[in-house]
Amino acid sequence: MRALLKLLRCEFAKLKRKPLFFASVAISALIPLGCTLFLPEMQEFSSGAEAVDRLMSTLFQLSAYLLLMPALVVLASNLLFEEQDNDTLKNLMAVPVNKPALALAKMELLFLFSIAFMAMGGFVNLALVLGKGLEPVGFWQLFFVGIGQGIMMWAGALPCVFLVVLLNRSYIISVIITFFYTAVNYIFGTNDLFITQPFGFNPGTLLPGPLAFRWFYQYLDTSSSSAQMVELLERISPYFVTTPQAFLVVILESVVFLALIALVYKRQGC
Amino acid sequence: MSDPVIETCGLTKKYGNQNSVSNLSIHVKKGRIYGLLGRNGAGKTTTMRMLLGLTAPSSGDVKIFGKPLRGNEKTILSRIGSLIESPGFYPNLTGTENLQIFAGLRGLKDPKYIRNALEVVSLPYRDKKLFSQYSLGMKQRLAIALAVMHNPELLILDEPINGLDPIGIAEVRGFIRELCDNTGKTILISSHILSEISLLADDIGIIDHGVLLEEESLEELEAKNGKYFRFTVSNAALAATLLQSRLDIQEAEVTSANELTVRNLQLDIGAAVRLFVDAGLSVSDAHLYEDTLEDYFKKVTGGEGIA
Repeated sequence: MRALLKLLRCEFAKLKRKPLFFASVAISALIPLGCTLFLPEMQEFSSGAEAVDRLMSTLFQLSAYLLLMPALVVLASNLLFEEQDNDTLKNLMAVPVNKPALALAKMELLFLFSIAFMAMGGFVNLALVLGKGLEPVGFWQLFFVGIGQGIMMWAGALPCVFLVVLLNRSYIISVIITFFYTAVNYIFGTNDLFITQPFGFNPGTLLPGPLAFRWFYQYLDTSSSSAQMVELLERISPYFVTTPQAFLVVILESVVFLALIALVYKRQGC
Repeated sequence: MSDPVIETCGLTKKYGNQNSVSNLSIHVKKGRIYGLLGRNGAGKTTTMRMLLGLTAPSSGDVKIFGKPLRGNEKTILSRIGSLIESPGFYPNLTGTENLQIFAGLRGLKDPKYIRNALEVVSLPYRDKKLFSQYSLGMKQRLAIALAVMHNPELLILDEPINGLDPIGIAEVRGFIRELCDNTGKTILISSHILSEISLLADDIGIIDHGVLLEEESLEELEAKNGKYFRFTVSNAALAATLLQSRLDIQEAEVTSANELTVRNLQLDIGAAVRLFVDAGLSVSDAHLYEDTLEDYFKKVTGGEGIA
């Protein structure tokens, strides 16, 4: 454990003067800001609770799916390939550093990145609500739902990271895999076929997109939503997953894919 | 005599059907500099990588500090400093920041380790220059600093003078010699530059096509080197005849119209010169020659020399 912490500290030290990582955290503000600035329905709110709800749902439904997921895989390939690219793996192995532990430290860094991404988006939303002179009613619950979704997205990105490590190809291939995986998750996460599956061994439970949707959606207040949204809620509410169910899947998937990533990373030469 | 610090037994590395290193058995003695000499592609780097556990051998054993490397990597590698192939560091960090990362992993908390290591290779501590902006020589110096930072007992240095300017080469050579002489460190150094090995090493291993051809001390190698007299005269054939008929020297060999080689060290060179002059020959040079390490290298590898 101490060795992992030491490696994690080193991973942080390696980020110095690497704008990609910090810029990726900052992009979590893009969608909430964009929606607030350009969408008329995001400019007028009847209450603070409604403002919090609508702004946080942009973070959950757009930022997490369309920005966090690809950012996670792109950063993962950047972190995992950096030792090969800079020829530093031999120096690390001569310390000696345990290769699986090194891979896990990099995944830990991504875990913290996910949390930072969702937290940053949450705080930007809070600032927007406060900026409109509204009271941020219910913000903290949704803030922590956002953190939970960040963790789900991190776990959901691991299969894709595994694929990138397994193929051990260039960044371009990684980016192609990433965007394909992101698109699949987003489409499946909004598709009835997947979000109306019972909790169990099926794509609706195992894929991060549908799973996250079936978890966070129950925390959104849809009382002021359109009839279409209310109808959607009625249709999918029997398939909502509880927090223990959702995090059980996250833990199991993380354990499996972290082990696979560590194993493949270990077997690759330095 | 104490056990060797590094001992390999039948070390072999195969890539497909190709033997990169074949049945290599080297013995690096404590407190000495061992020079692994070979052409590019001879198997020096592969050998060093196997000694550090970076490449798994196809067969054979590696013992370091008397223990098998396999299974004891953590205790053994922490006592070794290494530089393998080109220097590898994080380009977005300065030299000091790069060393801080490795110092952190080695558990070296006191900044004096980094400061001393940088001082040894004449690089500034806490400089603002990023590794990506370093010259090749500076990169190589930083790699040497990394190798010595934790004060290891054994140094494994693969072509450490690559990229250094002549002054840098002399500095690094002096520093390596000093490390061995003053602190008793054991050093395994590889090079394809013969003069460097002959200036630095106490023991020499000659490797060619992955096979260790010779392993001897520098003194032993020097003793093996051939010695001979060489004369430059106006008529080499006549001079050879004179040596045979008048001084009973049968080992005279005419190498060109004006050059004569005599592989008999009993020859009185003064008497020979007098004989040539009395016979009306002009003598422009008379010398005792000794084969160089390069000549020896050519002989044992059966091929051309190296730099």
